[in-house]
Amino acid sequence: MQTTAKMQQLKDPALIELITQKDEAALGELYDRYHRLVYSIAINVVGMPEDAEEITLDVFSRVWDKAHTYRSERAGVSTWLTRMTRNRSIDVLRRENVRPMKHSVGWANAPREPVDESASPESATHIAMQITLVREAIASLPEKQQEVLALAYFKGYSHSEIAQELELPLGTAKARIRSGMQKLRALLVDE
Amino acid sequence: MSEVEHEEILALIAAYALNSLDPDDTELVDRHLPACEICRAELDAYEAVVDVLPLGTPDAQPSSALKGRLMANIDHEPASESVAPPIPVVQEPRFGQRISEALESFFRGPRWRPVAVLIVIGLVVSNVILWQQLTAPDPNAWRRVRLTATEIAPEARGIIYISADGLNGTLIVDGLPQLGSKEQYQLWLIEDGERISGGVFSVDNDGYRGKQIESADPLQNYGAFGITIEPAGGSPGPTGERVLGYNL
Repeated sequence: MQTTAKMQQLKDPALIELITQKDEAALGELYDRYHRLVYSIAINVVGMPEDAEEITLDVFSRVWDKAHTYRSERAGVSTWLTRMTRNRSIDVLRRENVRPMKHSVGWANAPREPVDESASPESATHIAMQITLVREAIASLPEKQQEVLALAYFKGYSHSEIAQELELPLGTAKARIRSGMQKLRALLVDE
Repeated sequence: MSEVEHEEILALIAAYALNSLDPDDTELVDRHLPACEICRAELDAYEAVVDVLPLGTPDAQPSSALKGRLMANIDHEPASESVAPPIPVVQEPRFGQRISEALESFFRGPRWRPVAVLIVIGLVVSNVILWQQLTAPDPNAWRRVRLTATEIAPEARGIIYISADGLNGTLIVDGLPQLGSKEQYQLWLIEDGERISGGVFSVDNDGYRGKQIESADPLQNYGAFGITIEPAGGSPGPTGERVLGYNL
């Protein structure tokens, strides 16, 4: 078994490989790196801490059981985790028909603290920079575009549901989503 | 599928990546994607956006007890007992190995050696052809041309997708200023100083438009592209200011 310090130096795919061999320390390290991100997504979708914790537990349990299905050529480990989390959270939201009256959805304002305080400074800095970039890009969008993107991403709302929620014409809801995504693509993806 | 339908689907791709289309639109895009490399390329770009959105999530922290619950709940059986055996990988004989096997068979020399010779020659030839096919340029590869904005429209962006066979393509722009009713944008296909119109178009409130390019000749014949502001309906040749261009 690798020491904690050595485990912290391993890249994500190496941790997944160890998890396929049922290395509990590797699962623990992966949890330490990503539990806040996973929980953050879950709580912002379902709104209830207990449900969000169950989803977080479920995601990492699935990693333990299904690590051998991970394919690095399809996505990074963090993307694999966040996709699983969002899909699971929206499933819970729809199945339980939860629409918390006071639970509003929105994007983060300020740059976040490093995800994993025990990670190497180099990786923590890199993660912090990525987070700042994404948050600044989202903040640069008109508020109306941020709003529809939040409903689509965190609540899994369709065009029609967004239009109904915000009392907008369907075409307006569609245009705001498309426009917001185009701007984010220009800022975050395209060269 | 008509040009209009393709352009309408292009406009849906971003929401498709977010999984926020209504069911009928989802079905429309599902049917269209397998046959459209351009829309698949657009989808890849928007999925990359969706994949970084989690970093914009407001931060929250679960209870400190959660990790302990996880470690207590997982199956603690060692890998040899609980993990399915790896699927055996069958290795295809390599190019040289096939030839070696054929030659070894030849030198063991039964009476039907002439037949064996023919078999070996056939095997060599077929493997050479196969190797050439595997290393030839991918005939299905398409080309993406990124247009550069000018000072007239510095926030504009444009991409031209040219199909694998070089015959046709799609233009996608956004960030272009909206024009008055008497003006439109016009795409120019340029080669050897000659400028051919690739179509006239207007943009929506966000400066966006996806449009199939009109060209009598294969798009691969043109080495440069430009978009200018022209009178509504277009001009025989460029008269107005250029807003986007490639290789000019």
